[in-house]
Amino acid sequence: MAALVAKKLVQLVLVVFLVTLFTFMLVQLKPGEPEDLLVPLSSVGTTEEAKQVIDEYKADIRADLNLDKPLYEQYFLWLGGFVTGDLGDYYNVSSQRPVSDRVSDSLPVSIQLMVYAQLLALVVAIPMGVYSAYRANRPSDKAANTTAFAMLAMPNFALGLVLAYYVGVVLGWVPPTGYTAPDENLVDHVKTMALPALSLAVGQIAIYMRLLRSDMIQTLQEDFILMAKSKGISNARVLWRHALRPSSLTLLTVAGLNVGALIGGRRGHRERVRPARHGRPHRRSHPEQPVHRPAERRGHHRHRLRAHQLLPRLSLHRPRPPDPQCPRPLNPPKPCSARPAPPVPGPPPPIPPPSPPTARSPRRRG
Amino acid sequence: MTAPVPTLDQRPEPGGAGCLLEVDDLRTSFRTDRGMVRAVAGVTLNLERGKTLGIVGESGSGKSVLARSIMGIVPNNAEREGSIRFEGTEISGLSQARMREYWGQQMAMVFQDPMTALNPVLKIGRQITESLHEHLEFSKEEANQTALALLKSVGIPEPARRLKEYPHQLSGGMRQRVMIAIALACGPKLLFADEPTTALDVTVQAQILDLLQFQQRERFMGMILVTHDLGVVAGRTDHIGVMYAGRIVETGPTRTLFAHVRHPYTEALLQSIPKIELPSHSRLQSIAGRPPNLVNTPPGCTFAPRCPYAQDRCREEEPPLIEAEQPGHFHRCWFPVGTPANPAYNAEASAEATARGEATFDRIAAAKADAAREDSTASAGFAPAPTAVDGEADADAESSVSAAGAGNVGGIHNRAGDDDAPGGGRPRRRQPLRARRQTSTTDNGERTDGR
Amino acid sequence: MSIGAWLAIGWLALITALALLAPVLPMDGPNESFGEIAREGPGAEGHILGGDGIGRDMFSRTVYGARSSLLIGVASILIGLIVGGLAGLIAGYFRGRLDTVLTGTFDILLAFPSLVLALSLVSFFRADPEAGTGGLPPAQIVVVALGIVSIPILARITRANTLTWAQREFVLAARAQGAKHPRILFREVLPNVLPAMFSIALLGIGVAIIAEGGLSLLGVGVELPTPSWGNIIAEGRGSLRNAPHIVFIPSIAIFLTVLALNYMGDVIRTRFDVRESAL
Repeated sequence: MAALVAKKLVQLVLVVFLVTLFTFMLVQLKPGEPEDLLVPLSSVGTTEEAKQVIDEYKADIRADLNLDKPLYEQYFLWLGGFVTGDLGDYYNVSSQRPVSDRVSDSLPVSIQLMVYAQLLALVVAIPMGVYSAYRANRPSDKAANTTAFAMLAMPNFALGLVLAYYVGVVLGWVPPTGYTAPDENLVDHVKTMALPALSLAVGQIAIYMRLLRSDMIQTLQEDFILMAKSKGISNARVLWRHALRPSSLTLLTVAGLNVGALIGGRRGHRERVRPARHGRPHRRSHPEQPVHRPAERRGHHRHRLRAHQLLPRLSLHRPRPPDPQCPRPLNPPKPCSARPAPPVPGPPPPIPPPSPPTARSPRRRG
Repeated sequence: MTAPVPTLDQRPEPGGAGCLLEVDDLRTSFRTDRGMVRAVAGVTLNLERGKTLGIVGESGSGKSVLARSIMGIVPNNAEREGSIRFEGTEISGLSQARMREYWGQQMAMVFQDPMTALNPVLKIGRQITESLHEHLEFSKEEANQTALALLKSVGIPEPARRLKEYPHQLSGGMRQRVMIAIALACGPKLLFADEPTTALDVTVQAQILDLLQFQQRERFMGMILVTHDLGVVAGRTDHIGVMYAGRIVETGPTRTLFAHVRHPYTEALLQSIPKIELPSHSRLQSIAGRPPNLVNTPPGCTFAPRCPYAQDRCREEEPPLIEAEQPGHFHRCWFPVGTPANPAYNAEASAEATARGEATFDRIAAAKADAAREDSTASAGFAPAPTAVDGEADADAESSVSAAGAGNVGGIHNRAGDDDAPGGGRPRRRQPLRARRQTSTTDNGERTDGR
Repeated sequence: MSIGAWLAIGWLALITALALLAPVLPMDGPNESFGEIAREGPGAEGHILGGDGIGRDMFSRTVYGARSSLLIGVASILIGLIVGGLAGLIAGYFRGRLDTVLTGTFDILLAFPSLVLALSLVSFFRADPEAGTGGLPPAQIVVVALGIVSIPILARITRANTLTWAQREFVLAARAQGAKHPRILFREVLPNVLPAMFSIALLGIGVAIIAEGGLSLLGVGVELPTPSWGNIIAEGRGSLRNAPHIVFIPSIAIFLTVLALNYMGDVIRTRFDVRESAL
């Protein structure tokens, strides 16, 4: 047992190492120099003086980010920093803030959201899965399946958009953006979390329900179910007592994986949206087209870069899934965990600007 | 020829005190993509309390489905017709909810494979007490005491410890004992034993059969013992029904049937029991061909394609249940073996066959008595099928029944001091695509019976 | 087959036919602008689905969008299916060290949230415009990125299925008869694994279509002005308030297509699993 744990730990460390290395290399191989992205070219002008200022600034940045050091050294410097909790600073024109602050700000919210989404998904999916396995191939099962497929087929980003707009803006039932801590006002907390949790849960409900259903159908064909039935106990008891537990292994495995993925995915999402555009302004766009450019709306902020974005993102590792059960035929590859999801509490790029300022910088007190 | 009232027993007054179970023209079919599979095609039988009825046939003959149909635990795609009276009450039309009052309390079933029929994630105690709580509304304490007594009565050592264990911690024989305890928990009047020893080690099979017989007598239950092995039923049943393609093709009191075999299928089954007096390495008799396709049964006798005596009439006209000379003995054959009607009839040979049949019966009965006296286990000639053979039989469509008892040919006298070794069976999962295709025409009965 | 399956097939056939025939269909070009139908909802004269933000015909854009979206979905999953399927088959069949290495690689790839990975890959493959180097066309980049993302997923599923099938008696029997590994792998194991691979691939196409939408929303999907369902939504979200149909029409197209694909995947899967419940 201890040997197994040790072996798994070694594997885990190896995987983490390779993941970070891989990410690191990916960033390195990207064309262009990081410091070029940090300096707002257009805003300075082209005079000789300006160029000199820029060059100096760039040199500063290179030194600060250790970019002048050899590659392997950069990696180990980062790794050492990461292990000791130093994630570097946000590189912002106006201010510098440790990345770890930002992480500790947002992590609790991410976890809350993840827990709500998972709970919501499980609470809906388990009875649905049990019932539809019990009624397999009957109309009620088919209805449940169709619902599940519909949930899976909903483009998550569009769902987030539509929910935020109609429920949040048009109906005004809940605020479309923002976050309230639970100890501050529980009702508001629930209100602000409802939409994001729902749009994260929708896809999960479908997956969980399908997983449970297919395992449960298998279980219901087992002799011990027939045996339980022949004892004359009620179907409900057979289902919940005898059939559910042996059928829930895959479900629990996948739910466990998703807990990890959702934290990673959510966090990744918030911090990911903008950096990907760096170095690629929308200049290849069709000239006469009004291109929607959220980054540009943000004025000079679009040029800021967080140092840690040049570096591997470690928080995203997931535990290794157990082999045979892992992705069942109907456990679709899950981008759902990483889709740019719903609007709250991160800055929601998709929201049309009814109130532009709040859309970008939600007050986060948590 | 007037079709006599077919019966497996001296039929008492309908609804009379002695009559536990009356089944009349029971038909069970499964809706499948290939069409309706007729697993049980008109079975009539009676059973009194305290009596044991053996149902014998190959895999796919519909015997398991028959037992499940009588009990009413057929899968959703099954259609059941006919009448089933339990103690004079018609139960065939009852809803599941009403049937639940019968299941466990009035009738119970011991399943074939104790590896798969016990819930792997529930403790043994929980599985036994469950029906006690549900039906008899026992308190926790009462139920536990009852479970303890039950485990003791089925011969499980250290019952108190076993109650807290999970099925995988027990050996195969133990698990089957637990299953019997579960079936007996609420004191049923009718016990179905669906191949109760097929999945077990040879050495424990006799113990389990003895236990079943003991409990049946002790509790004065009616018992239906389903098996593919004539050897199993010889010493332990009052009546035998031989099933083929969903029909009872021959039925009678056990000894009569052994002595005066009339149906060629029964003859073939009997011949396929290995005989101890034959020199070792002699070829086992087997039945050529495969059980018929139950989707589109051809007209005429269903056994005709495999029957050595088949005539034109057999292929055109289906024989009814015909009464033989002996009381209570019926068969479905136009040209019964051992009668002048049979093309291969030979008075001497027939007398010899009778003697041989009696000898077989006596030998088996004697072997059983021996075994009982010595308190030993499976002696040769007793001939329960070894596990491995039956396991394969499923995929091979058991084109020969000679497999039964093959493990005992050399006269293996297995004495097991203890119970068998822990078994490591796993529940069967889906069949490979290929295997499924190959067997699709032959495995209807077994494959569709909801396992 | 059920009505649902026929509807699913029908929708997929329709959308595929429209996509294939788009250039010869009697409709306006996807980039022709008609000022009068800008932000007009469905039902505008001559433009049944109305116009987008700058008056391009929504029907035409949706049909041309289907071209990109379907192509990306199918092509990327094909990459995943071939590479991942082969890797999974080999890993699951041969086990041992090879399996460890391959599974480890899949694990590392799976450790990234798929969209993050796709995003990094897209930005990696894209040439830097300022450096002036050339690169793959954007649509192909998206295909390759999503293909790579789908490799570990399909590989794992194939591997898990191969593992169970490779231990069956018929494989052993084939080996006992002296069949060579490739023959066993492709003639004995593959046919049994194929249904699972195929049904997951159908789901995968749906996921890839959605993922393309996600990438478009992040601005790295199919390059404008070529429409894809994803970038139509991305363009339209700014006018959700006064012209919601620009977001809705491609969303519904994605929804129906993915629904149909999921449904077909399920139909295929259940065809190979016919047993009834005992309860």
